Amino acid sequence: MGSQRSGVSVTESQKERARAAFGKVAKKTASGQKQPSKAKTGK
Amino acid sequence: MSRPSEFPVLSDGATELLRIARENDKHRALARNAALLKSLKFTEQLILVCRGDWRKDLAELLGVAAPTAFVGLASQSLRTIQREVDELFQHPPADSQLPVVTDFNIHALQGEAQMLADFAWPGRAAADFDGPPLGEVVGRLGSVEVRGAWTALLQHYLGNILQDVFASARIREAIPDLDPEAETWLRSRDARDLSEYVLGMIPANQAPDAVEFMLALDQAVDWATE
Repeated sequence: MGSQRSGVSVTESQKERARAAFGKVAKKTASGQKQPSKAKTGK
Repeated sequence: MSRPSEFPVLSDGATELLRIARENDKHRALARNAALLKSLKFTEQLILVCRGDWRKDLAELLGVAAPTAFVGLASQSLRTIQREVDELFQHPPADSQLPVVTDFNIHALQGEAQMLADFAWPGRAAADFDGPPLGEVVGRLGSVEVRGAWTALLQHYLGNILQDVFASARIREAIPDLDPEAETWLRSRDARDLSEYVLGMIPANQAPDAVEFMLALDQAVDWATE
């Protein structure tokens, strides 16, 4: 396979979704993130 | 296969950014592309060379005379990976379905450089451009486990993708009161948790396999975005 466009162009509706995801957390915790959770190894 | 109960909880923001990257990833190149595969394989080769007769083998791996300091090694490493990707583009194997030139290539190459710096130049400062001398760099890289290097590479690769989509969505401009560390956490928490989980999907007693590592990432991204 040759050249593949993937992942960079973000549509307006996607921008709104992303902003909403960060915005709702920013209002709750003023951090934009959940509290950190250490990954488990899966085994 | 449904998401395992022990799967890490990513932040809402990172999950949405990953969903967007996946939606726009028509060829599922995020987790399986030639640049990422070549970066993983090169990393393994480099570590093995650093553990052995590196004064002889490093020049052969890089295709040029061995550099004198970190910056030269990082630069030549990226050139070597890019050459191999170019070779795949010009002469693709008949049975290969691996995307070769994708928007994710830059994230893989940048992640390689970031990983090398983390291990070989831990105390770096902006005022110093060349980094440690080659002997010191080789000594540090030779002591790194391949699995650990791959996990660090993957953390930076995912962090680069998340931060790229974050910037494209202009989130910082839209949410002025967002925590100043939000972009940093995408790499230091979300990308770390996901990359460590991917590592855990590969049995510890198994020899490192770059293709299997990418397939584990593909599955983990599916779980993270479902």
